[in-house]
Amino acid sequence: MKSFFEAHIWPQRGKLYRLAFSWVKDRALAEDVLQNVFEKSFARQKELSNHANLSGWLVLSLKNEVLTHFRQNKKIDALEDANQFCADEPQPEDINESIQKIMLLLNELPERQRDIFQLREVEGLDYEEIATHLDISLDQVKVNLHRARKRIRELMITQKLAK
Amino acid sequence: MNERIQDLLTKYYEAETSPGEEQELKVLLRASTEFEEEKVLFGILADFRKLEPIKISLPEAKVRKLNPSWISWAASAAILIGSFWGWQVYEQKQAEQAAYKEVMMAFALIQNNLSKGQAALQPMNNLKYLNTTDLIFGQSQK
Repeated sequence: MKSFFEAHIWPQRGKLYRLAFSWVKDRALAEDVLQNVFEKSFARQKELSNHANLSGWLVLSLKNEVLTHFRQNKKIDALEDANQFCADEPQPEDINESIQKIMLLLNELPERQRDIFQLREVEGLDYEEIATHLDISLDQVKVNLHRARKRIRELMITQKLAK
Repeated sequence: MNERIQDLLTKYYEAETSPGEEQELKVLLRASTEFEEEKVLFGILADFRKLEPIKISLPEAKVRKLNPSWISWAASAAILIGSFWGWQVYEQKQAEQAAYKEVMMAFALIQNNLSKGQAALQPMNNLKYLNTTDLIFGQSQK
């Protein structure tokens, strides 16, 4: 019989990994912070089985883990500054062209818009699910998604990513 | 088809499309020769969706590792305590058996002395005939 962790948390690893990757822009680091979150959630799975918003808790824990990592390494003080830090970092060699392109686009969005855009466009979540994941209102989801798509369209035209 | 795509794109950028309409938009874009930018956008998003963690492992329940030196000390202590306890039990059993034997010997001695006393008292039984001479001889002489 599967444990609560295996049934409800482990299947979310792909989505959580891509979220972490969009924040830290480094595959190995994204895996490290996700592994840490998994270790903690595995230890607390009995408590989490009664949690009203498990997905929201996981996203928040992941974000806190990333912030803790950056603070410990004294690179940045907040996740919002991650864009500057990551822009200075060399891109991993094995990252493919598509991911480089999407990272360029996502970097241009504010953090909230980036998370909402990614959860909708990459993970395919509906508005309610996004609101639950990020613990925000439905209206905030719609407004931020509208702004994010509008901004992405402008970037697509100005940066001419299609060519 | 292009008109439908344009309508859906307008709704998409306004964040008013349903998941079903977005799916329809992606299918129509694949068949269209125009809208190159949107095709690229949905293409790179689809590629990003394929990005999966490689080295993440399923956490395992932590098993407490016992310190071998601590185990040897604990085993030694357990053997000493066990031996001492076993010896104590043995001593107690032996004492109980000795006490039982002494009690039984005391009972046997009492029994023996009681039998001797009863035998010594046997002549006293004849005293009950002291006042019964009439009963034995008197009636017939009169």
